[in-house]
Amino acid sequence: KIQHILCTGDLCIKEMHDYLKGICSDLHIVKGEFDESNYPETKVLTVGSFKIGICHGHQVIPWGDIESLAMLQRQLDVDILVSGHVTSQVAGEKDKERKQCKVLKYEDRLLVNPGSATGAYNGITHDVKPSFVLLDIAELKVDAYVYELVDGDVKVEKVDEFVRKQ
Amino acid sequence: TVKVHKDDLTKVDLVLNGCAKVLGGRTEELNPKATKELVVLLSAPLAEYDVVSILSLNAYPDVMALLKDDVRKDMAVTIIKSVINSGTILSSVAQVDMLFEFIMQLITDGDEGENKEEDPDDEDFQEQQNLVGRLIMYLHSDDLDVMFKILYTIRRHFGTGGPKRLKYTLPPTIFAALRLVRKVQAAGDQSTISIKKVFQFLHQTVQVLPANDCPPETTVRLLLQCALAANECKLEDILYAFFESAFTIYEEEVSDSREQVSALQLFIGTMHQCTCFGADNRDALIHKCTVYTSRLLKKPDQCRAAYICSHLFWGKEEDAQDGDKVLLCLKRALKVANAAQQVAAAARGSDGGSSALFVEILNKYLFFLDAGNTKVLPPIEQLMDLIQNEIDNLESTSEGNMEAFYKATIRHIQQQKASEEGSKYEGINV
Repeated sequence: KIQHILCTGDLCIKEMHDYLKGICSDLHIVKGEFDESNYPETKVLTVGSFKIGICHGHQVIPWGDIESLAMLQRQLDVDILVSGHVTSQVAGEKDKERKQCKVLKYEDRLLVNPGSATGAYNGITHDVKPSFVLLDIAELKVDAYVYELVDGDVKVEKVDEFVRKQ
Repeated sequence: TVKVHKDDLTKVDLVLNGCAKVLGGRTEELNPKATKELVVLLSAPLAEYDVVSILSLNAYPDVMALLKDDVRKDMAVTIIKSVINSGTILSSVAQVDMLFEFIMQLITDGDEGENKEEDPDDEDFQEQQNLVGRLIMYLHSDDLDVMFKILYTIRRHFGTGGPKRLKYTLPPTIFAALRLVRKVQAAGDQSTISIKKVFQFLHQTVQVLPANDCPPETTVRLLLQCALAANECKLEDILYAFFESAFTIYEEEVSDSREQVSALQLFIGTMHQCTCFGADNRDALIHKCTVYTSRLLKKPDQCRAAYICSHLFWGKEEDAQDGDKVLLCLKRALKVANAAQQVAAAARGSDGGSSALFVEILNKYLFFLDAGNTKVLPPIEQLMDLIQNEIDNLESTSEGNMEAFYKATIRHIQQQKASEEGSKYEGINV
C-alpha cells in the first residue's frame, strides 16, 4: 500500500488533487508551472531515516541540469531530491556519456525525476511516455523502481540501490 | 425503442422527435416528475450507444431544450463524462459542432443571458468548466487539416463563453494547438497546413485572455510555452514576438512580487532553452531580463534572479558561452547580496538569512567551474574566505542552514576533486 505520494506539481485542477488524495491521504505537493493553488515552492519531509526534498524544477536553471539540481539538494540538505518540469535529468554538455535519466546517484545523494504521470504535453520533450517512480524506503537503503507506460505496456525497471552513508 | 430496435437509431430519433413536438408546444414549466421522466428518456440512449451515435439523433437537443437550465447542465455534464469515460474520440468538424450543440448550456451565457447569474466562484461551475476543458483531449483527428479546422470550431464555440469561461476553456485549446504544432513539425514537407498559421492561431488565442479575467501570470506562462514551440521550429521572428508579448504583459500586469519572481524564473529558464536567437534579439531580451531582475522588490529576490541570469551568458552551444559576462553577472549578484545583508542588519540587527545568498552564489561559481570556465577560480577563493568569516562570526543558530549548506558545498568540492573531473578543481583549497 502506498504510504506517501510526492507530487512535483502541475496538477492544475482540484479534481486531480482529489484523485491523488483518494489513492493516499499523505499527499505532498509543490507548486508547478500551471498550478493556481497555494502549494509551496519546495517541501522537505523525512521518511524513515531519509530526508526528501520536492521541487517542481522550473525554478532550477538550467532546467533538469544535474549540477543545478544538486545545488538545490545541498541547499535543502536532503538525501533525495524529487523534481519535475522536464521529464528526466540531464548532465551538462560537458559529459556526453551521462545519459538522461530518472533516477541518479550523484555524489552521496539521490536525484529523482519521476516524469509525467499522464504523458501530458511537455515544452521540452516530445513523445512523453507516462511514468512515475516508486521508492521503497528501508532502514538504511532505498530502492527505486521506474514505472513507464510504453505502447500500452507497463515496464518496470529497478534503477538504483541507494545506501545511506553513516 | 433503444432495447428493441438497438441497431436502428432513426427510430430512437423518431421517439425523441415526437416527444419534443408534443411537449414543445406547452408554455408552462415542466413539473419535477415530468423532468425526471425526460432525463430518464435522454439517459437511455447514452447507456446503450457511444456518444458519436448519440450525436446523430437530431431531435436530442430539442428534447434537452425542454428542460430547465440546471437540469440541462446536468445532462450536458453526463454527456461529457460519457465521452471521457468511454474514451470516445470525435474526429470530424460536424461531430464537434453537434456535440457543442448538445452541451450548449455549459458553453455560453444563453440566448437570453440565463447563465449570466452564474457565480464564477461556485465549485460546481468550476468543476463543469474543468470538464469542458478536459473534453478537448477527445476532439481530435490525425488529419492535420481537419484537426486545425476542429481547433477553429472549438475556438469559435468557446468564444461565446465570456470572461467567466475563457480562462478554463482556452488554455486546453492552446495546448491542443501546441500538440498540433508538433505534428505539423513532424510531417515536415508532407504537411497540408502552414505551421505559421498555427502559431498565428496560438498568438491570437492567447491574446484574448488578459481582457477576460485570466491571471496575467497564466497568460505569460502560455506565451512562454508557445515560445518554446517556436524555438523548436526555428522560427526566430515568431519566437521573438511571443517573448515580446510576454514581457509586455509582465510589465503591465504582473504586480505581485511573488508572481514576479516566479515569472522571471520562467523567462530566464525559457530563454536559456532558446537556441535559435540571433545575437541582436538575444541581447535585447537578456537586457530586459536583467532590468526586470533589478526591479524586483526584495533584495534577496533580486540577488537570486541576478545569479540565475548568469546562465543566459552560458548557452548550450559554445558560441553562446561568454565567460566574462558570466563573471560580471555573478559579481553583480554579489553586490546585491552585500546590500541585502546590510539592509537586513539595519532592519533587525541580525543577518536575517541573507548570508546564505553567498553560499548560493558560490555554488553558481562552482557550476561554471565544472562547465569549464576557469576564470571563476579567483572569485571562488575570495568568496570561500568571506563565507568562512561569516560562519566564524555567527552569533545566533538561525544560520544553521547556511553552515550545513556550506559544509555540503565543501563536501561536493572534495568529491569532485577525487573524481575524473578533479583537475578542474585543483585551484581550490579545502
